[in-house]
Formats: sequence, C-alpha cells, structure tokens
Amino acid sequence: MKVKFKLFCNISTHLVLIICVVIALFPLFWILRTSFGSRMQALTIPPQWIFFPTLENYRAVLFGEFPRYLINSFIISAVTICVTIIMATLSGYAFARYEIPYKENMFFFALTTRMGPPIAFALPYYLLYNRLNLLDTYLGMILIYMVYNLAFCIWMIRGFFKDIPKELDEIAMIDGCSQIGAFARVSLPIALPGIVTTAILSFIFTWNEFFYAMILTRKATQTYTVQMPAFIGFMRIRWEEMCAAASLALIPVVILAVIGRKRLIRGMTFGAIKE
Amino acid sequence: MFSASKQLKYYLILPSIIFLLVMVIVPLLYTIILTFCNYDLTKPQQGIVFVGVNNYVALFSNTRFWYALFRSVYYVGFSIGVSFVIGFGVTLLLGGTVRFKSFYATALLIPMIMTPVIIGLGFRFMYHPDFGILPYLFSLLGIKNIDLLGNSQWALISIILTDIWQWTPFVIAVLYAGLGYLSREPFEAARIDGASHFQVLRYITIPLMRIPIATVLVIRSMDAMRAFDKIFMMTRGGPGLATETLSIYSWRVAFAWFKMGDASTMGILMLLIIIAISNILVSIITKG
Amino acid sequence: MVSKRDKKRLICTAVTLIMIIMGSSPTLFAAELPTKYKGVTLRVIESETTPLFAMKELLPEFEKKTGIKVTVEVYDEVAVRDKMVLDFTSHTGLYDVSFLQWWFVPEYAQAGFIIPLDHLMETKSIPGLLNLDDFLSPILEGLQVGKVQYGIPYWYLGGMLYYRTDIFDKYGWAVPETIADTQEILDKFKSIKKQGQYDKIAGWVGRGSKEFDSFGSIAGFAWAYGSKLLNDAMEPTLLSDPRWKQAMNKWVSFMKDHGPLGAGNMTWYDAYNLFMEGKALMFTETSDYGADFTNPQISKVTDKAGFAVGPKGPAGNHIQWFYSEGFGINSDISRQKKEAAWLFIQWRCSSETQLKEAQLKKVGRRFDLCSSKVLQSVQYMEAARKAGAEDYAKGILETIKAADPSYWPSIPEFAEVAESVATQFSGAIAEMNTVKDALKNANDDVYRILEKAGYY
Repeated sequence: MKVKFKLFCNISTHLVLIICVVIALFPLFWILRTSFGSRMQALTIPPQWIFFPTLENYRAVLFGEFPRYLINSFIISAVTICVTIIMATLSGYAFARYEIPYKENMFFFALTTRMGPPIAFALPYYLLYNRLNLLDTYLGMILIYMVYNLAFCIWMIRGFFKDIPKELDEIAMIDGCSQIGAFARVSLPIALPGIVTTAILSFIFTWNEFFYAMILTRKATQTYTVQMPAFIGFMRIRWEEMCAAASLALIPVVILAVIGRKRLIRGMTFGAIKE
Repeated sequence: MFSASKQLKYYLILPSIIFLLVMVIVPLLYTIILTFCNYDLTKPQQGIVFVGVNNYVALFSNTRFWYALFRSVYYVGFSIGVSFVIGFGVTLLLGGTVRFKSFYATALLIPMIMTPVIIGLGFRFMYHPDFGILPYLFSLLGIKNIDLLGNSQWALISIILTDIWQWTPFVIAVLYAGLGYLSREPFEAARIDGASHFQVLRYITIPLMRIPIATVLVIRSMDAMRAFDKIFMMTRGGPGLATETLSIYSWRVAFAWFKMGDASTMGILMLLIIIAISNILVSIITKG
Repeated sequence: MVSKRDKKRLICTAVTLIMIIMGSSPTLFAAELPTKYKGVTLRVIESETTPLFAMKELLPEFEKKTGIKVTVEVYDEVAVRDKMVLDFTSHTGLYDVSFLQWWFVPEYAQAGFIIPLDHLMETKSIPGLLNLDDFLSPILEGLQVGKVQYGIPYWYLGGMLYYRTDIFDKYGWAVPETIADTQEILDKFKSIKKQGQYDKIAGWVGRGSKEFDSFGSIAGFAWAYGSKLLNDAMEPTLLSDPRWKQAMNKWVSFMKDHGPLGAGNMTWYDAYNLFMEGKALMFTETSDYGADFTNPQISKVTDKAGFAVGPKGPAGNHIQWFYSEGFGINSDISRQKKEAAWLFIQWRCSSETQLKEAQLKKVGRRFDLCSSKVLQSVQYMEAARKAGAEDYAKGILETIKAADPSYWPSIPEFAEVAESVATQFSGAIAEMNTVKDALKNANDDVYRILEKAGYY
C-alpha cells in the first residue's frame, strides 16, 4: 500500500512538472512553429499540425533590415556588460572586504535605477541627451545601460565575494602576495563563476530592454526590441516573419540561460536566495 | 592589515560612485524639480515654468490618473496573487523530491528570460480572434467567439495572464530553493503531534519560509508595478482605458503630448509607491 | 530644289509645331526649374505613406534639373512626430522641410516651428509651376492657421465609402446614400449571416482604437448629424448638443453590433487589411485605399471593390474624413535654404508632378491627388482606366467635391483632446462604458484640457 502511494506521488509529481514544462514552453514552440511555416499557415485555423517547413521567413528577415538591429543590440549590450562587470568586480570586492560608510544607503539608492519606473529616468535622459546630442548614439545607450546595470552588478558581485572567507586572502598575503595579488589570484578565481553569472544576467536584461531603447534611439542605433512591432504595421501584417525574427533574437538569451542556469535564480532574487 | 589599504579601497570604488552619483542622482533630482514645473515641449515660448505643487494637485484631481493607478494595483495584485498561489502549490507538491537543477529547471527558465516584447507580440498573435491558437483551443472546449484583447473586461486579465505565465517559474524556483533549506525537524515533530496538513502549512511552513516569500513578493510587485513592454505590445492601453496602467499613461503624457512636468510627477509618484510597497512588504513579513 | 525662303518657312513651321506639341503635352513642365540653388542639400523628413513612394520615384528628375540634393528620412507616423518635435524644441536643425499633417499644424505654427509661407509665395514663386487655383479652398485651408498658409498640400483625403460590389449585386442592394440606408443594409446582412453564410465577413469595420486618429472617424461621422466638437466659444458640445448622442449611438452600434471581434482595438490598417482580404462588407474611411484595393498583387477583392462618396446623415452632410498632408519649411534654417525648400515644395505639389504620380508604372502609383485640375483631366482618367481603378478615380472626384473641414477643432491642443475623445468611444465599443458615460467623460476631459491651456 505504501509503495503504491509512493509511486502515485512520484507519478503525480512528474505529471505536474510535465504540465508546467508544456505550459512554459508552449509559446516558444508556437513562435518557432510559425516561423517555419508559410503565411497561409500562420493565418489559418484549425492549425495544420504537420506541414512542410520553409526557410522563407528567415531568408526574408536575414536579408532585410533586421540583422542590423540585432547587431546594434549586440554591440550595445556587449560593451555595456564588459565595462560594467570590470567596474563592478573591483567595486564589489572593495565593498565586500572593506568598511565603507553609508554602504547600505548608497546601495538602496542605486538600486532604484533597477527597481524604479523607467519613466522617471527616461525623461531626464531624453531631455539631457537631446541637449548633449547623445540621442541615438552608441555612447549614449551604453551609458544609460551602465546606469541600469552597475548597481545591480556591484550588489551581486559583492555578495559573491562575501561568500569567500577573508582568511583565504590573508593566507595568500602572508605567503607574500600584495593585496592586489591576493585579489587576483585567490578571491577572483573563486568568485569567477558568480561574476560570470551576473554578467550573463545583466546581458539578458540589457538585450531584452525596450523602454529606454524606444525613447533614446532613432535610426542609427536602434535595437531589435524596438523594431519587432514593425513587422505588423502598415501595408501588411507579417506574423510569420515576426516569429522568425523573434526566434533569431532569442537565440543569444537562450544559450546564455542554459550556460548560466545554475545560479540565475540567485541573481534574479538580488542574492537573497542562494542555491 | 586591511585598513592600511585606505587609498586602495577608495580607488576601487571611486569610479563607480562618481558614475552613479552623476548618472543617477543628477537626473533624479532633475525629474523631481520638473515635478514642480510645467514644461510643455510643444510650447517652447513658455519654457520651464515653476508652478509649485500644481502638478500634484492636478494629478490627484484627474480621474484618469486614479483609473490608471487602480489598474496598476489590480495588475500587481492579480499577478502576484495567482502566481504565488500556483507557485507555492507546485512547490509543496514537489516537496523537495525532485532535483531542481535538471531539465525541468532549464525549461522553466525559458519564460523568465524571454524578451517581454517578444512575449507581448507572441501572445498577441496567439490571442488573435481570427487565427490565434488560444481562441481555437477555447472553442474546442465549447467557448466560442471570445475576444481576449478587444473586450474591456478580458483585456487586462489576458495581459496579466501572460505576466503570470512568465513569472510563476520564478516563484516556483525561489520557494523551492527556500523549502530545500528547511530542516526536517519541525515537520517531524508536527507529524508526531498529529497536526493536519493545513496546520503544518499554516504554523510551520509559511513562517519558516518568510524570507523566500518576502523576496518573491517584493521583487514581483516591483516588477509588476513597472510593467510596460507587454501591455504596450498587446493593446497600448486600449480598448478605451481598459488596460491603461500608470506606466502606459505616463508614457503617453510624456511622449505623445510632450508634457514633461506632468509626466515627471507621475514617474516620481510611481517610484514612491514602489519604495513604499517594498518597505511595507519587507517589514510585515520579516517581523513575524 | 527647295528655295531659301521655303527652307526658312519649313524651319519656322517645324519649330512652331514643336512648340505647340511641347506646350500642350502635360508630361513636360510648364515652367522652367531654376538652377541657382545648385549644390544645396535639402533634408526632408516624412512618414512612410503612399505619397512618399510616389515622390521617391520622381525625385531624381528634380535633382537633375535643379542641382539640389534632396535626402529623405522616413519613419513611421508616430516616430516622425516625435523626431520632429524633438528637433524643433532643441533647435538641432536636422531638417529643412517637414511633413505636416493638418491636425498638427496649429500646434507647430503656434510654437513657431514652421514659417508662414505667404512671403515666399508672393516673392519667390516660379510662375506656372505651382498654381494654387488648382486646389479647392478647403484643402488649402487645411494647412492654414487663421488664413495664413503654413504648408502646401500634396495629399488630400475625404470620406469614401468602400463596399463589396459582388455582395451588393447578389442581393440587389443600391449604394447607400444616407446613414439610414446603411443601417438597413447592415441589418439585412446580419440576418443573412445568421443563416450561416458569410461567416467570416464583418458588416462594418473602422477605427475603434483609442489612438487619436480614431477621432477623425468619430468626428467625421458626427458631422453627418451636424455636430462638431467645439462651439464658437471653444467649449466642448458633447453634452450640450443632443445630435452627438444620436451620432455616437449609431457609430458605436455599427462597430459593436456589426463589426468584427476586437473592434475596440481596431486601427486603420486593421480595417484596411480586413477589407483587402475580403473580410468586410463596407466601411467609410479615408479615400486612399482604392489604389491598393484594385491592385491584384496584394488585394483579394480587386474586381469586387466599389467606391462611393460617404453617405449623408440626418443633417444633410456627408460622412467626412477630412485629412490633408503637405510640406512646410522649418524656421531654423538659412534664407537660401528656405528659398530652395520653397522651390522643392512647389515642384512636389505641382499639378504636373501629381499627374505623373498617377501615371507611374506600379511602384508609387496613386490616384488620391489633390489638384482638381488633374483629377478632371483626360490623362488622369486614362491612367486610372489602365490601372483598373476607374471607379476609384471617379469616387475621389466625388469626395473632393464634398470636402468640408469646418467640423474640425483646429487647435494646438489637438493631440490630447482627440485622444481623450477617441479613448472614451473606444471604451464604449468594447463595452467598458455606455455611450452616455463616454459622452460625459469625453466632455469633461476636453473641458479640463482646454481650461488648463487657458481658453476659459
């Protein structure tokens, strides 16, 4: 009897999980499916479950304007993350190891950039960038995304460094390392997976960002998030091409998520929950 | 030993501090100042005019603002409420039996990392009354001719459903991790004492999981309060005012009508609300 | 042997003949384009609509003849306005020629973003190039503020009724001339649908979305009942004028009871696409869809589309959808650029250029022109016939005769006012509130906006 009950629990657990997974993955599946179908298939119901896939939509998207926007997104995100992570690693280490007055207040204030409504920051930046001719420039976008990410990265990396006992550094310094040396040779390598995860998470958030991109870019540096709705605009509504574009845009984030899956949850909870 | 490095530590953090000071504090101050001014970009001759608290007064007497605020609160409440119940339920069901770092974990990550814009457009496609897959599935269940985004009663709920879809995995992941940290003892003791499942839940599980629950609620409510991308992609606030939350309304005031003073006021109010929510939630839950 | 005198006569005759042919040919410019602005670059900002495609086809000729280089930046409608306003307010001086939608002209003019064209019109016009008599005065008025001309139109749209000739013929329905007729047909169609046919076809489509452009549909429909938004004291009349209630009840009923699912979110291109795919019976909208509806490459109703002037309402007015678009000149640029810009505008809006647009082969071809001289010319009809759009061209002529913008609130606060009104009725269509509530809320909102702007 007890065995049966345990088996039932097991099966029902897995059943629940499978249902969750199906629900979680269905929209992505649907987008992919539409992207490989023709216009007819996108617009007919009942849907044809089995059909001959076509690469026509991908061809149309790749030979159109869209890759340019993907590249813009990539340039902006990549540069932002690189600079931010370097700054955050150094600062995070300092905050973790040393006594700095008003630490917590500073953090809370800085985190408002991440938690606050985008409108509160987009407005002054819109007006200021206008004056400084920074609208629609790579520099402008990188700066604003650095603001968006820096506080968060410092917070997270500080947490990772705090997990490493001070003693390890002290031992290294006793062995003759300078402070920088202790940092570079002992703490940094241990904290590296965490730092990488933070970088991945920041990249994902920057890649996915819409509001600042919409307000602060025009033609030259426009990111793909702002261009997505253009597939369903005037003249014709091209859902199937939009799905192809979406699939392409999701590739980087999916890959990154799979790579960093172990600690992503910790990142999303601002370090409160450790796995 | 470490304090001898006074100069080093400041060198390490100075770039970041200066950067954040300039790039965060200054614009924020600018926004706050703007809340006390009228600044209409389409009337440049007037420029920036100081009007004291007029913007706040006008905002509080503007019914559209209250509608939008109500809708934002409704959005947050519905979204966190449902995703919390589902998330907690699933967590309890799994009860620590499944290793989360597996295929399931990766699959459940997908909704969280998908671009909100793509989720918005994707669901708009799936919700479409003519060729969307979801109305079709509903019709198989006998519910015909529903209009998920065009009916004022259902539009907001349909959008909230996408938010729930996206973030319930997050709730599950956090609560599950939290549950995993609890020791078995209190549960064993309760079982020996003959407590029912419900009593265990109420008096042991939930209090012990205060921190993960608080974390989830705070982060989710902050994010839901600011939600913009999905709503913008699906309905832009329509039909009528059915899905116009504060974020959508403030966008419109700022970038369709170019009224910077009024929009700043809304932005600052939203920021204050978010700070208040997080403070309240944290204190309520971590006090007990 | 041809004598010298005969030779001379021959040459004279030949030259005269050539000059007669040149003078009477409509495809050559009646006026010479000057080259004194050679080397100037003009930066034009425009939104992505049909006149843009037409202009792009003809632009190389202008550039060659005048030596002026014209660069055109194109965005979608919403982004264009945003970019233009930003450029104006920050005086970055990115553009010389701005695309003007008539409803924003009061706003831009009041703010001093664009210059009045009267001085240029008087002193720098090339005789014979741009003949303003070719335009009917309502169309010119669209781009005026208090009798001062701020832009020259190259596009005029009126309220046109599009309908399915095949379905009408099948049931023997006549083209509706009044709103009452329209109601009758819609009811008949609905009962036919109840019997199972035409499941996918909606009786009526239109702009139900809350965006400000739906205001054009709402106000144009209300004008058929004789109501306009603002009275002479600039106060909103939604509550004080009972005809508004009748008009809006009818409008909301058309959209809600005879429209497709999701009518409350429908934008103009949803409606346009639905008809083009054969999923709509009839609707009144701006008159620019005909060229696409009769284009076999994109339309499924190529030979089934009918065109007529918008039906009349109880007040005897046709349902309007007045819209005029043109070019204006920015105030922040040099004198020489302003003159070069004026030359460009004259060329672009001239009747000759417009006729050429109708004669383009496929790309950019359009028939919704605004020069009544062109619309009544033989060549225009010929071009329309060749493209299979003869009925459409006739329809355009009818609508232009019925053009009447007097119902419009031409005020700088237009954007916010229009959106407030459109939002309320979009909500009524989506059953968020009743028409009565919508009227009251819209009235209060408009009053509040205008009060804050200092009107009373």
